[in-house]
Amino acid sequence: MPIPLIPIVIGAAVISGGVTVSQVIRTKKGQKTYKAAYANAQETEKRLKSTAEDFKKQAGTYGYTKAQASTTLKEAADFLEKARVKHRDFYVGTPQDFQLRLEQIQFQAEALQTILRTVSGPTVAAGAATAPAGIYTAVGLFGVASTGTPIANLSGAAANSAILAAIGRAVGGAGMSAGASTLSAVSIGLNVISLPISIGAAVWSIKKGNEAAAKVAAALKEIGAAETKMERQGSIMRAVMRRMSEAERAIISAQGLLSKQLAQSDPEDLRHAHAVYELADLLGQAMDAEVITASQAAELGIKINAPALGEGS
Amino acid sequence: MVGRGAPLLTLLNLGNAVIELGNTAIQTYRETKELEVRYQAFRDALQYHRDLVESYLDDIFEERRFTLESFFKELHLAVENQDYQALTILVGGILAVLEQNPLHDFEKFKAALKDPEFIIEL
Repeated sequence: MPIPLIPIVIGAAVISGGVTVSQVIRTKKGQKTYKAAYANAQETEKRLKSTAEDFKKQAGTYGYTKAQASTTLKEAADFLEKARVKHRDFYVGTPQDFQLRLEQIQFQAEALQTILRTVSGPTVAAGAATAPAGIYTAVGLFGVASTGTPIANLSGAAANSAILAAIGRAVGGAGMSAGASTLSAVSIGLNVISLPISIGAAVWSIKKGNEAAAKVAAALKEIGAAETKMERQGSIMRAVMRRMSEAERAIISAQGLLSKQLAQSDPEDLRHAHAVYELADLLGQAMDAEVITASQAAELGIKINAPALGEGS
Repeated sequence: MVGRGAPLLTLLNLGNAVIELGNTAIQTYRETKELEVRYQAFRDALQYHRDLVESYLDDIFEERRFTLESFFKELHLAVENQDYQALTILVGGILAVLEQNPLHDFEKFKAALKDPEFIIEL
């Protein structure tokens, strides 16, 4: 009666093997996704570093332009002094409206170092018991039929009959039926033993697959958070660079106009003095223009020292 | 009868357990696939967000650049022609543009992007 159980045993072993293989593929896919995510994050980090370098250069140029413009502003203040025009105190010092501390920008790249680099999972374990097939194959290759002919020289039904008969003789029985019974007994016995083993292997592979998937999910979450922050910092730097560039262009234009006006102005002419005052005011306010907001500075770790235009200065 | 049926039942139960395992494996495999899809969606969203922000900044600053350049061009003429009335008006116009810091609007824009109900006004 145990014969009908064979399909169940074989089917179970096949499914168990399939489970293990699927978990291995699952882990490999997870590893692939993780590696791609890590590479993407590294690319984002590279881009952020490049943006930070541009930002640093832009800030340097902007600071230099302001320092240059302050000289012209000083000349305007002297002119207005001569013209004895009551004027507001112009900004005549060397402006340092913010100190860049780029080294303080916390690049998320460092965080990437702590993210798992490898995610291990189950490997294909030697699975199903194949002893009956092994016996059959071995006898087929090396056995000898009752006629004395090597079974390897036979084929088809003749070879099958010869193999079964050879196994039957080997276990002390007679003929093919004894051989078939022996193979069945070996097959059932081994499969009954192998079934719990293959189930155990499948359970183990799912457990390992789950562990690997959890690691991948956690790593992707960290990488995602790091990338989001890097992206946020990058977009702030690019926005601030545009604003610095805008303010710098205004400073250069206003400085040029003020120099021109100063060159053609007479301190005794009140209209000239008025024009110098207006243009000096424009230059001073352009120099004071807010180029970064408090929250953006905080995000980038930049310290702002001076008040800025539009912030009640 | 019970003695012969018991192993059969045990094996059937084991078989069912294996089928259950198979279903679990398929489900977990799908979950991993979903993770991959979710990550790709995240990357796409990040790229879309970056493009949107860059496009916003380009538009805003290009418009301001054009306005300021136009003002300065006129201011040059006013200084050259010693037209002090025009000079005062133009300086006021430039200062009005400079005072308005687009970075504040940019912050509002970025905050609004997090709102799913947000509609960009063109």
